Amino acid sequence: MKMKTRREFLKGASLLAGGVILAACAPKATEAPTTAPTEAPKEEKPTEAPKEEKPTETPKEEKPTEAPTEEPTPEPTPTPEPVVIRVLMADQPQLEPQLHAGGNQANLCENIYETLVAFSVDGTEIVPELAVSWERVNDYTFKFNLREGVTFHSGDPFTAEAVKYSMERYNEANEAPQLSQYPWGTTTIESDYVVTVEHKEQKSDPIFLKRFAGIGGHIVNPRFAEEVGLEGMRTSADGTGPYKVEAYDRDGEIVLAANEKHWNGKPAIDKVIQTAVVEPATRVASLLAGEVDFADAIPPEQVPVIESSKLCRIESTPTNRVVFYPFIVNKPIAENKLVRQACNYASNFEAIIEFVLAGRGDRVNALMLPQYFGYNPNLKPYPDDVEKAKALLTEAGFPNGVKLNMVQLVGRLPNDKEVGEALVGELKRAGIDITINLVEIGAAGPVLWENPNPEHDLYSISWGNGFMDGGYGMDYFVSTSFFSTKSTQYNNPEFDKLMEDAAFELDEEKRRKLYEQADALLYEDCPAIWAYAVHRIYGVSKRLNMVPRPTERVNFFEMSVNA
Amino acid sequence: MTQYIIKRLLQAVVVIIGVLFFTFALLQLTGDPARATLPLDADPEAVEQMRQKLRLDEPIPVQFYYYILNVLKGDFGDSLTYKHQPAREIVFERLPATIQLALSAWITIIVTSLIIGMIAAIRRGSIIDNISMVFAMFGQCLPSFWLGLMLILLFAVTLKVLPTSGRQGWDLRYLILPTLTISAPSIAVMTRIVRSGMLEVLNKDYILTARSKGLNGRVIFFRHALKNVAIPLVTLYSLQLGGLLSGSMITETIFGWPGVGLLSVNAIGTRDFPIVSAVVFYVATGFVLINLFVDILYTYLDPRVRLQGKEVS
Repeated sequence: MKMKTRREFLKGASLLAGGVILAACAPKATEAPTTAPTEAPKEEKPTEAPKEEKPTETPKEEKPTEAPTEEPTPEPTPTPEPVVIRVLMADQPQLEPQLHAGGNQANLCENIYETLVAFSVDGTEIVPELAVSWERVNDYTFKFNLREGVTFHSGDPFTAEAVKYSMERYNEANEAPQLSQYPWGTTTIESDYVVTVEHKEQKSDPIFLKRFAGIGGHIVNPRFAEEVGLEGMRTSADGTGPYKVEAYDRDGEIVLAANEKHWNGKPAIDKVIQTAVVEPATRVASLLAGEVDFADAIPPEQVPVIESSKLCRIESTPTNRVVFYPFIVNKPIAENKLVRQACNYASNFEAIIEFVLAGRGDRVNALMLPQYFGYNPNLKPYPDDVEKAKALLTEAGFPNGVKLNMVQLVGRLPNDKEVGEALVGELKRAGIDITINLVEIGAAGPVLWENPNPEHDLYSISWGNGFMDGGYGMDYFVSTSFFSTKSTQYNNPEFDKLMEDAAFELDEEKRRKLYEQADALLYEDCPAIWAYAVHRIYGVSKRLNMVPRPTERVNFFEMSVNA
Repeated sequence: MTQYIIKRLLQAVVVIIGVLFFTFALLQLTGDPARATLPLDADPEAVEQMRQKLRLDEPIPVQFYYYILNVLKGDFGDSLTYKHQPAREIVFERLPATIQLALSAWITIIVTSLIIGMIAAIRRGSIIDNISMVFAMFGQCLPSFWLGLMLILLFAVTLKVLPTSGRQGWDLRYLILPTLTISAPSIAVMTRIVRSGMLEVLNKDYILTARSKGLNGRVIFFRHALKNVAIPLVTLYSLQLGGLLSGSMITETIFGWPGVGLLSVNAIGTRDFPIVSAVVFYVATGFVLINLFVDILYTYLDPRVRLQGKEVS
């Protein structure tokens, strides 16, 4: 009897479980329509917005009325399968092209919007984009001849008015003072396809032209931007770029469709579906499972895993981001140049790059990289020389070594924590005893910039130089810069003078010389331990062709897929 | 009874004010919010303007007053990452995903732990009991980041039957792995609690009496035993729901599940304080409300609570 009762109970329990599961599923099914519409309209608005432009396209819509006469033709033409790729990033950005400072957002927007001029693939040259040519009118004014016949995704024509509107757009934005790298200026429309832009302060700015290729230089459609407002620009877009936004869901997928009318021809990839996962291990798993064609920010230790897969491979490139460890130079020990030099001789970044970063990094001599304007080719990275480091410490009056506190920022770059820990071990060989303090990147502000009496003697930081110019890279150590006044306290009048002279020097050769001298000065004075240039590592499916850019931009137009 | 509910309501209000104070204090401790709002190389002038805008030049009590006033209006300020967008709006956008995962995990926890726990209790000492207890122990021991990644490797990379990550509305395939990951530890805990609770009740005198009266086993089990075990279980299951609704930072991060947990991780990383304080406030308030609901529900489930109230009055 008892056995029967238990069986009956088990049956009952399983029925109950089944019922509960069914019940659990049922409300989901009914809830779906209630939740979907609340999200859907938001997403659909942007994609529908361009449809409002249909009136301008009406002549095309009339074509179908003629089409039926042609349609009955017996043989259906085989339509080629659209080429779709799936892309996995570390975070899902918004679509606002100008008012932001995020790398991933810039990545996405560069596929949708365009600038007057752009960086070449290797990042060293300025090439035409929406401007076909340009000339320097005077020390602080540029004249641009615009590309004719270009249209926005909505069908609106691109003219000088759009340039003026775009340049004035961030002038009026609240957060204007933040955007120091923008081409601030006054835009004058000369004709439909000619504009001049005058530097806001009427100063000569050697990198003024490069600023037009940056985030601030994106050209938006005035009518669209006014129509959707700042809010709408975050979730919808109307650019002239090779891709238009088909669907946008920040919490799900961003779907980009090829702009078939693009002035540079139709992109090889018809559709790009972008999603985001923060966890690197999941991004790698998605790649290995064949779910995606492209995964961003692959950790160096996962490189062999991907390389051993039949489905995918690694594409990596040196970038314009340099890691270094600035000293607080008014602290008792760090103020001594010999100690700072000793740290450079004992840091052995050669080995750290090889073993901690799996070779995915480049040794640097100081803040400048070979591809930057003003790089001094005569400087060689500090060699690993422990004896020399010890001798320098003795000369500095510290024969028994020194003790220093170091802040290592973590969570910004691949293996940053491990790099810091390895550095501690390397420096110890020369008697430099480092106490390491790991600080999450999010908490960097209070520790590094808002602390007038910091405990640390040095800290880790990375600096991306989008303009690849000494003026933007070495600014970090100018005595009046934010970083010098708030943290390093570095004050070298000779270096300041070189940097100031270069900032207003329009003669390229003279300016190059000035930066080379400034570079040599930093190299010798060691206001930091010069560490390495970061490599960007992508996981890519074997069918996808791409060339990674040192500017860290991901350009879908340059990609294609093997048949 | 009414007095009891009023008392619980007042307690809830005190807790929420405490949470507000705690969030405000944390904001003060994490450095200059004006600096946090602006980029590193912003002009001192811009910083000063921002300080005035955020009322940081006022005394701390005045700042707290304005903070509470704004929170009551649902205004936590604009997100620093998503410019010009109120933090509240962003948190609300992420809530459906977290609620979906929480409910899915909650149902999984209840169904699984009840079934396994009850079977283990009925068949105490049997192989089923032993196996289920070993699994319960495993569930408790395995860290969710490890379990999540292992599930991805097994079901998505090797077997290719489920997707690795993401959320596609109500496509259940995307829900399975995060649900398993998030519910595993709770299933383990609850199975053990159901089993021990059931065993305790099954050994009570009134069950023996019922058995001696010759009552049907099913009647004894469902009418007399389960009803009495249900009282503590309701509390525990509800608390589980509260925890799940706060969003699992680890599970959501691993599976790229666009919920409140993932939002918090990103917001902490970018020092997006308006979002962090909005998340803390809504999660804490949700937790307090669920607790309040459970306390009130308790008075209906357990007559002793009601009677106690009467005696006091």
